[in-house]
Amino acid sequence: MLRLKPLILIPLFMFVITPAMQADVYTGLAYSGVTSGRKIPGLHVALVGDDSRISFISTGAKTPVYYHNAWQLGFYATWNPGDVLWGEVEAGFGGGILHAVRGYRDDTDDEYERESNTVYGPSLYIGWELFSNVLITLEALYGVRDSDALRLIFQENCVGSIGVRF
Amino acid sequence: MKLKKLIILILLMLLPAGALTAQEDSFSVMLGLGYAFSPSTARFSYRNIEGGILANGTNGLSVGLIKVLRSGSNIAGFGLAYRWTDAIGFHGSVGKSFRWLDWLRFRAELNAEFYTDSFTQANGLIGAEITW
Repeated sequence: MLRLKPLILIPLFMFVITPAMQADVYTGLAYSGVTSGRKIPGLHVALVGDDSRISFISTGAKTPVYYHNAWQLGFYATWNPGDVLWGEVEAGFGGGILHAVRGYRDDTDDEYERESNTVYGPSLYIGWELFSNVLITLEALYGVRDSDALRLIFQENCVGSIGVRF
Repeated sequence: MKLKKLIILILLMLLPAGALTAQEDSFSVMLGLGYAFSPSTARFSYRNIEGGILANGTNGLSVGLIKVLRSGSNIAGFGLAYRWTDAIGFHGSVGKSFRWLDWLRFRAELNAEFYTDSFTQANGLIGAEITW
């Protein structure tokens, strides 16, 4: 239940404060590279203001012996630099935080070996309006994490999504 | 196969050259230094359509076609990329381009590519744009 809380509460919080912000809501199907392996689908929800954006992405994968869940929150100052082909482009620069939990076990009867880590740093957002209010978006977080090895403290995460703004 | 290696070798030799960048009504050359979580990069462009060459020591080579948009000092790029492993990716970038002299700008940019073969690549770029 603990892992479900961010998945439920953060989108709920965003929908609740939307009228107060007079913002649009973006909901989309995300694909994330957070596992550094196969692409995994996720949920992407964002509050879209005139010149700002709050974005939340929840993604995860599970097999009988393995799971990997991640949640990413980003805050962006946004602007409209122009059009690409027929669609308007929206760009944003800001900061983000990613929290990931993983578990692995050799056999289904074993206990999971669990670990988690948090990554934070600058992030970029860019979206292209494919059709009216249908967007393709890309968000990238350039983070640092807690690691003893200097060359391992950097971790980026890219998330692409397609969704609807309303 | 030899041709492919030759192309890769030529592209790798071009990496220090940085990038060519065209302003809306003029030509410019951008010499950039890539900093990367994934090593990068060289850019060549004409009239704000940029072709990118992205090299990664452990993950191969990719090329991209990027439309660069400018809004004041802000810049944004959106485009497609192709990886040598026959994967297609989306490219996105945002950054700042500051004018110092009429013919000289400084540029700082964050880039990300997101590929269909489960590979992502993100890097930063700083450089100077010289316009004539």
